[in-house]
Amino acid sequence: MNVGEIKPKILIHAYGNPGRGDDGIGSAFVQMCQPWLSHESVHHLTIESSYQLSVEDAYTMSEFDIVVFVDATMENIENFTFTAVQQKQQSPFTTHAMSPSGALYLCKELYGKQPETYLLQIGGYEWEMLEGLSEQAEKNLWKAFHFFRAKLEEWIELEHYHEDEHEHS
Amino acid sequence: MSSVITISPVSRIEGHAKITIHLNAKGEVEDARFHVNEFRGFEKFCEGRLLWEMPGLTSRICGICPASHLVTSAKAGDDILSIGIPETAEKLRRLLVLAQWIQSHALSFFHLSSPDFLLGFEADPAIRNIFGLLHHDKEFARKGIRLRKFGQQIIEFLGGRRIHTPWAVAGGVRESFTREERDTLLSWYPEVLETALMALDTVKQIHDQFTKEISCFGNFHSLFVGMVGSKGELEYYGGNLRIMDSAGNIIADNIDPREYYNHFGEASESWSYLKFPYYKPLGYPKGIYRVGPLARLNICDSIETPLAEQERKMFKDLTPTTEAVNNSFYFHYARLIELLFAVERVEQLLCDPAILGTHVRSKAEINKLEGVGASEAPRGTLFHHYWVNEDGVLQKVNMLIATAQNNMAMNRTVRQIAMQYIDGKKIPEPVLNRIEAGIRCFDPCLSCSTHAVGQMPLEVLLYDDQGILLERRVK
Repeated sequence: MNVGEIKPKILIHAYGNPGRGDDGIGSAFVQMCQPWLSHESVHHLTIESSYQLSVEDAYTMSEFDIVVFVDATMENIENFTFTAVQQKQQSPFTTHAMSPSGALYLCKELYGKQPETYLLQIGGYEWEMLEGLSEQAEKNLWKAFHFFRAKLEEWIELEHYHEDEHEHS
Repeated sequence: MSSVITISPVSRIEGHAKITIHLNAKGEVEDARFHVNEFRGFEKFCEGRLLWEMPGLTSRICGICPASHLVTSAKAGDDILSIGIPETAEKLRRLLVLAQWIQSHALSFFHLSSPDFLLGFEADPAIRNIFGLLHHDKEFARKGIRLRKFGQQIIEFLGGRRIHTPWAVAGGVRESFTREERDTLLSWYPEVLETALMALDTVKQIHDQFTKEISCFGNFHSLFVGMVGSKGELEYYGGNLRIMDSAGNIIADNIDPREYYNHFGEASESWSYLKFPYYKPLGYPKGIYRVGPLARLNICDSIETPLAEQERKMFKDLTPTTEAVNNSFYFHYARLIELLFAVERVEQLLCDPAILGTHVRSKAEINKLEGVGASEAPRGTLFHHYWVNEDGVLQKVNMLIATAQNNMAMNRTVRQIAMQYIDGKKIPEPVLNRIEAGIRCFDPCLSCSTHAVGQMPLEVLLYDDQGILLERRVK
């Protein structure tokens, strides 16, 4: 996205349950990203964390130019995937949760907005009731984090954030 | 020859749920069961943790009603510390529970149930959802989202975060909220009141269109259980337990919820991981009971807000006598009366000067080795029971959750609807819709503890008596 002087409003919404092993990847991702909030160049970046997406997230999305959902996945992928989200209806049974594509659909239909929306899915392996990520999920998380930082630099002028990331890479 | 039809919503890591319908040789429904895998492991997971961690930890049980677990856990902690909490803290906790009711009840109605009512059970399931609803009435859908967001906003203001907030603690709450936040919520009040009234009007208008469904959507005798205040009023945070039978007789009253285990047992069935709680004096399965909005509206003598009280009186008129309202279809009606009450009561609390107080926490050491907390979660009475050692380390945990307490009733509802509508070895789509809708009356929390990422397809499997798959449908 070529935004020139205009800084796009970006929402990162990570979700999952940190009490369910690797399902907490989203929450861990947010913890990694939080220091950016205090960084001058990323003040227009909003970070949210929740267990699951809900209908009102469609309303929140409508206030942003770019939305990135971050989620753990059970799918057999290599480390992580980053894909554009296409709006799509979903047919819930009794689930209270919303999918990214469903939220985007609602955002467009109800609020007439269609932010660029992406889903960063990070591979997870352990889903039992425990806190903390599995070793491989932790590695995937760091790879996804580095990828995402680079992606952010495409969108905005991001000053380099220094952290002892080499320990983890 | 008998056949089994299985309706199995599959999700990612949450408990699975499915429906099996058992046909006899004539193709008539012999039995039907609703199976849920409950995550009982959470109780084990809590053992060894500190009491003070429990509110934050247990709020992770459920993605949709974490505030109810948070408050109930904090109340169990109060019991173990043996302390009263400051007035402001109690009012703030009450506000949180009401916010939870608002967002949960709004979601249940606008997101899950109103498509059935406004688009009809015969509607194509591809459009019989919130997406279809917005083509039907966009403004209706927007208002529903705004109402739910109001509840979420209260939770955010109180806890700082939408979901996993460790805000409530044993002895009170961590912090109060600001005058600016209070004023923001008050300015929102006229809009949410209007939406709550609109939702209530909508559900009352559709009752005439669904007389057949109303007659068989879980229309049976059972007990009703919930908490009421000292004057018999609708309660959501404190109070004592009241038990009413289907004829409207109060068979037990003024039960300290901390003694719930003397009155309720939990039976098991080999075909379900979910327990079957029952009222001990009547035994299992005769001691079947329902909790949640229908039960609460049945058992209470009054509601302390004016508009909701008017509606309660109309609700009571559904039965010509003093009999309880026994039809589970009316869970929806009761839920929306509660929604109206919650909106009204939130305004009252926000206007109470004590809500801005700053003394919000009492402190004490472990004074008892066992404690129980109870509150009325959106789906019904919720109990947390903890045993600790002298250092406050959890030795044992028991949680009695509303969806489990409605388990027998949900099973009976599915069976009743199946018997009413299924004739032959196929389930026509509208019948399937009705079975789903029967379960939705109870608004069971199947997404507890995780997100479903929209992966909750409905799988229908038809087997013959040899176990051969005759038909499989997924939608």
